[in-house]
Amino acid sequence: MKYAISSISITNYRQYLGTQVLDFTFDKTKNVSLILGKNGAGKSNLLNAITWCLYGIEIHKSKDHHDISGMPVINTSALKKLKVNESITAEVTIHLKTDSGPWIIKRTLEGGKSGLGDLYFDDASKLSVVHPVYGQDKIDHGDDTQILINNLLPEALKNFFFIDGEQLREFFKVSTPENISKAIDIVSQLELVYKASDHLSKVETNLRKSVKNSTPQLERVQRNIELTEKKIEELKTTIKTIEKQKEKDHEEIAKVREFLKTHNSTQIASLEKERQSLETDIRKLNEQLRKKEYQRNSYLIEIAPFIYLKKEIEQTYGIIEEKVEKGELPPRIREIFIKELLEKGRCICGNDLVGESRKALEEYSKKVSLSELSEISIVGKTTIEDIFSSIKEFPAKIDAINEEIEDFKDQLEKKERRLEHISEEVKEYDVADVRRYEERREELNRLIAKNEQVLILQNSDLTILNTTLKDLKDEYERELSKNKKNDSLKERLTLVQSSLKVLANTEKIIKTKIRYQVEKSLNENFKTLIRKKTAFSSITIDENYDVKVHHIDGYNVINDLSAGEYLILGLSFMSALMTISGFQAPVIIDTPLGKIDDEHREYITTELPRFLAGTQLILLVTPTEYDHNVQANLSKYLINENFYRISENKEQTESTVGRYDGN
Amino acid sequence: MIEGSEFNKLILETIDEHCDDPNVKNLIQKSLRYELDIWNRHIRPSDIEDEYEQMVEDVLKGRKQ
Repeated sequence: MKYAISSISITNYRQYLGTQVLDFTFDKTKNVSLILGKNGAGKSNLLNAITWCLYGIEIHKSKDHHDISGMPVINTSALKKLKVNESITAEVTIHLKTDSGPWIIKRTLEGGKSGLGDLYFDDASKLSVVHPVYGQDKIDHGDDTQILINNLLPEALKNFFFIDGEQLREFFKVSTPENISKAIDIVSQLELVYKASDHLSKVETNLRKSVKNSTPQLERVQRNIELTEKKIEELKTTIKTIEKQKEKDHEEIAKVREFLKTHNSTQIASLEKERQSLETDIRKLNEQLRKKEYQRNSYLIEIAPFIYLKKEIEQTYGIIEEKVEKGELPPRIREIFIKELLEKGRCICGNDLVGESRKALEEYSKKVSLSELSEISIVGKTTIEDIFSSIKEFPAKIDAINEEIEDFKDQLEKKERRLEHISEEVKEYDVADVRRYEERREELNRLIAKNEQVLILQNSDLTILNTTLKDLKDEYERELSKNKKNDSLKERLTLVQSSLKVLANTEKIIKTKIRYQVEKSLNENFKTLIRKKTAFSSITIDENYDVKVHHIDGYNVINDLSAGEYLILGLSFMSALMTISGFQAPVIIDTPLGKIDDEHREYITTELPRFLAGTQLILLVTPTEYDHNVQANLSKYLINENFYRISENKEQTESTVGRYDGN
Repeated sequence: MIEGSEFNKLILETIDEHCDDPNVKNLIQKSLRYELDIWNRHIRPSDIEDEYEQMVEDVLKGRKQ
């Protein structure tokens, strides 16, 4: 079902004291609504208000955020004014326009001051939904009400529609293949298959336990299965923890790099820029080195047999030449050609083939078809001559390749040495913060490298354990089939196990299909949105969910994109997921243009509204982002009535929202 | 999770293509339908287990629910 937001009403929520209303009108040719606000004025809390109302979650805060010492959801000024035994409610109401008619979604949270003067808050917020059913408005409250909203747009997909610009820019900068795989999992709704598999696995375990282990073998296998399953679970938990840690370390290292790169000391900033450029060069050089080494190895594999058998090949060649000299092997002339000459009775020189010359040619034609071996020998002679020339050019060719390899290694060594020097220079800088960040950067690099190695080992252990489990289950099935008892249980167990196998296979097939779809859509979107259309040849997502952006020169430049290019890559990926998910909801982006260069700003503000034509696009922007060029570009798509500005009070503790005419 | 979405069709089609056993197909379809029914609802794990055990029994008895 397609929906758009027709109004948002916010009461006593975060810095919004009293009630603020934002109405949105619709226009067939325009799709952009704007909310202008300084940093910290409350733009992000407007986005939070929307996700809180719909899902009870604030997008900028983690799900398990229950820190009572932090700012409460209810406006603090309103709380301060409360007398004892008085209460107050924070409320966000969203009116939606849907295909089936208007909806009203309201979430509230109550708090108050107790008789003793302590503040208290309800444990959970309350949700109510008014929606049309058979032409009548139906009101729903309670736990299951959330299902209605999840049918409009599942909570798992909310981050693809309600977007934090900063996070989107960082998505591919710090994202790991696990994140990409997770995003594709969410969108492909494979969760349904995973849950069915999990629940059927529990049935399988219960059934196995119910089977009377009447033979010692059966008992032994059952015990081993349980042990292996336990080990697998433990290992999966460990892997998850390490992956999470790795993800956190990547995020932190990106922040450290950004801190150094934008440091107000020009020396540090330029050193960090040089380091990042060196790292790019090193990646490219490593790629070239790998390619060259592969070329050398392939060449060696191809030529090695000839070099080892050089003596034998020379002997063979000698034998063939001797036979040719003796006339036992004729030169390579096609039998058909001689037959034609004999049939025509005329030589190619013009003379008639009669008498002795005809006789000689007839003798020759017999030799031509002497034997298959002769033919092989003649072909072999030419091939051996080719091999000789390959062997002859081998020393020069291998030297040239080795020279190129050594050259790459030299360049790498120099650049790596320079990297070390930069690190030393930064560590010796006389600002404590810089030294601390540099040390942390080194520590994080070590941790990431170590965790990557641990993950390789753990994943390999997991593969071995999974194979063991499969073998044990097969053994169990064999043992069970020998057992005449438990027929009914055996039948159930077989059914559940077969279903699990089909589900596992389905999961793999679907994931591959969706990955291809996402990759295709991602390429199309990126080509549409990116300014430098000819600089990138393609984007690939391999079977390990590793995303590569291929430069026209063949390099993977995923780590070398500008902030604008990262944003476009993120937007293209999100749009691909949005399209594939099939859900049609408004797209709301907080700070879409921050840190983006002018050229990309211009391009995004021209292309994005057109790219999302027909979709309600709400942009929350700072005055810096909304410069003259952006204004001019967006004017074509902006619905003027939907232009709002957030204003703060003098103390910058409370905010209000009002319509803005752009002046 | 939306019933009748492109993805559900894709999942069901894939199962159909790669499974010949009608009982297995039936159990998987029942499981997926049940998961769709309880999607985003708080159901006790023991109730889910009971429901699954009942599904297995129903499929083997060839009973229609």
